[in-house]
Amino acid sequence: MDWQLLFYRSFAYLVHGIIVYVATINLIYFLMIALGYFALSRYNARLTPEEREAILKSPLAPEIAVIAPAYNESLTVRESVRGMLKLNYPNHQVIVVNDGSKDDTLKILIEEFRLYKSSRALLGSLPHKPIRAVYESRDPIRLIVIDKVNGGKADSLNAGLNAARAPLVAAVDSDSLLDPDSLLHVAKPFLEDPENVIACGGIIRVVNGCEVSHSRVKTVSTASSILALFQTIEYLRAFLGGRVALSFMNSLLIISGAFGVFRRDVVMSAGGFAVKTVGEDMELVVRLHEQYRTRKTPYKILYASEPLCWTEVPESAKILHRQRNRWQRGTVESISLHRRMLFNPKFGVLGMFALPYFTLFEMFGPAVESLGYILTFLGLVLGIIAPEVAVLFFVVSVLFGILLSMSAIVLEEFTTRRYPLVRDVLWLFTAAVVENLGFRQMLTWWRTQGLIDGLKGKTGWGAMERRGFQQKAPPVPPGERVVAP
Amino acid sequence: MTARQDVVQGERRARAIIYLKTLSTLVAYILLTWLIHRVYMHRHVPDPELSLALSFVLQQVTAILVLLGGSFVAKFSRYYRARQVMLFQPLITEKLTSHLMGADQWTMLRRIRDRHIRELDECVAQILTSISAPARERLVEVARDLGLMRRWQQLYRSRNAERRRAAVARLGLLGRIAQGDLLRALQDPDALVKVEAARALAQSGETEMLTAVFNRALDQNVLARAILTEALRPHAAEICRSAIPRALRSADGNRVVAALEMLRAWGRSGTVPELYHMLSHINPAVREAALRLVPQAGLTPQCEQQVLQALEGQEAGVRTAAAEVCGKLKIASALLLLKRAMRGTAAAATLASAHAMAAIGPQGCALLETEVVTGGAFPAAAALEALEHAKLNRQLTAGM
Repeated sequence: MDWQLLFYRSFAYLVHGIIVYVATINLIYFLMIALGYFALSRYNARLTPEEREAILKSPLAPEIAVIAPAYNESLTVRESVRGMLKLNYPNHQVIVVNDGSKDDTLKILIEEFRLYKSSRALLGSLPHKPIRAVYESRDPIRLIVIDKVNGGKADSLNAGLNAARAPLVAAVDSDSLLDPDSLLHVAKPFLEDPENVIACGGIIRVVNGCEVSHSRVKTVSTASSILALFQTIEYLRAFLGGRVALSFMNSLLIISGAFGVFRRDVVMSAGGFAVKTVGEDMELVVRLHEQYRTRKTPYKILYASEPLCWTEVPESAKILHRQRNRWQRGTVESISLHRRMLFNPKFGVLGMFALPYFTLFEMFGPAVESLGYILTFLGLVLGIIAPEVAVLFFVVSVLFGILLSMSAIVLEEFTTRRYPLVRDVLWLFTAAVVENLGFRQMLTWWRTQGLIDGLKGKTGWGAMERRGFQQKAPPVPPGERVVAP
Repeated sequence: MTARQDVVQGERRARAIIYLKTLSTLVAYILLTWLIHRVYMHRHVPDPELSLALSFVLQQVTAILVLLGGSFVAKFSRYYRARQVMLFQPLITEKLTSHLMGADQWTMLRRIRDRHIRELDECVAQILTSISAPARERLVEVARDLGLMRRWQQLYRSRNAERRRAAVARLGLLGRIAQGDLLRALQDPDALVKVEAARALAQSGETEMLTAVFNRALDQNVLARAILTEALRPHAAEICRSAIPRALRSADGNRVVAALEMLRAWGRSGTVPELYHMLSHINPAVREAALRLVPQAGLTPQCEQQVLQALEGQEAGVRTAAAEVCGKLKIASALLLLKRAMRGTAAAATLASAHAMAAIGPQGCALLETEVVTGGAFPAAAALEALEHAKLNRQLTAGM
């Protein structure tokens, strides 16, 4: 037997297999963008100003408790809580959970909002780290602050859920900015179908580069930092393409931890947020799908296509690396925990498409793509594969990627139109090309590391530095966001 | 087929169309890719796989450029239109005003219509929303004679729901002459178009139309109902006289609850004596909704008995609502029942009862203090919370 020939052939087949795999991911993504476009055209009906006013006045709007866990957020907490209290909604309450901050987050809150130690009774019984005190404001504002021992984001959300009494709860990041009308938009699906809608997420947009004043995004613009700009494109691709399509198929697997609204009774009976995973947002959504589909109860987990929440993305490669590693580990954990749904026809399109897609392409995709880059390079250098094959790999991985990013920008232009200047759109197009020549490969590698860490069972969040939102103000000293390992 | 089934079927059809469109896009892409590959690419790129991939890239680049071009054209045209409106609005407003005041401006207005129909459309719509009866009727006639009504009727035939909604909003400004169109729009497959039509019909103020819109609102989802509740608010007195009593006699519990909720939103419960019958309704959801209206409607001796009975009811929602009524109206005779209700299993009812007892006054507070010491864990916590709130309220009142 000619071992060398066998090796060469196997190598070539492997490279071809990877090419087919990468092309399939991109084609599925392309289809999801197309589906997202058609779905948005049909369901993106905006409220007219009169309708908006009617809901704002209406006692029929369900109460929403906005739960914001905070850890060492002294730089931003004052402004973000003010922003949350000022949201346009007829009936909402803010619950800030101070997750054992080591800085003066709690002190700032007590002074700023004239808090007193309250005897508020907790309705729920979800387990969480001990609560030191509950505070309420002496002023007529609907704010509750829970001070508890550090236990992580999920643990804080559970404490907030226990304290909430509203039928709907919004889980938000205290360092994100909510659009003034975000609660109105996200409540819309619950008002349209209160019996079936159990959760609704919103589009998260990148705030870097935008002009922010008094907790509000005043002018939308592209980021000047190249890393932030690339992430803007990623967010557009993920939120406008993938998630809209998955939501349309009622197979949405992630509602971003930065902003998601849930029916409180549903989350309580599901057992709250899982504290032992770093991807608690995805895990909860997958668990809800599993429970409802097992019980064969009709339900909807939806996505509101209006931009609802603005988040600051990392501008340093180190922090971005940590974040992507954590996200990838979260995906691995969530899929592993609910693997019985994989290829299980009992779970419908979720078991047969959404979860396998996430497993094969989102979870293992980066590893396969990384392998593709390595093998193609080696094969070309060693003369095992023809140059045409290398070019083909480049076309399906890089050129298809560029086209996908561009399609997402076109989708943005046709639907939400948040970038008013043509200059910004053209700048995004340029970034869509450049992003695929280095940045994407870097992310693929980091995600591969995250996959390996996830399979090894590594836990912990890592640190997230924040610059603060006021872009025009002088840079503030970096804050630190560490949630319990 | 019921309205609900109709909506479900319409929704299914819409979803099927979206899947079909996506599938058609895929098929079109496959065919085009193959065509480009056969006709052009394989001559230049011998490797068939590479040729196919490049064909896909080529057609996608073309598609993106076309779409982007289209989007830029749309962006510029929106900008241009807004500018044109700003530019021509003073002139159009002046000519329209002068025409309405008796000067003959037909020739000029027709010329404007022929050259700047969009600007005229925008301007007429803006003026129609801001002027009152006699001038408005004249302007409606002008709009019709200038062909704007026909233009809006055509716009309503669009397959795009947003455009239809805009058309209905415009037609709604025309009042009675567009009533036929608006009634047809009530059957539109899109819920928000229907709501827009109903809102427009409600503006007429005619009893028949108001009843039709109100009855439609009762069958709608909460969003549509909230919008229509506000649209009907100026005519609430008329509806309370005519349509509400009939709605409260309905055998459909959901419709009765919807009617009671609308009544609560308007704050006009006092004008509907039939409300009190609802306190003994067989459906607990109706009883709960009716109880929430008692503070608005006022307490009668018989009603007080019904509230007390509700405190001993089986359903937690009813008990909670009854406890809230006792707190708001400070019904001292309910104290012992409230104390019993506090010890039930429903947390919301326990809390509502505790707060009601605290609101009733010193007697209630004394009972709560006992509860803090002798009650179970949650009732004691609820009692403590209620006592604290009462104390804060007292401090606040004293401070004022």
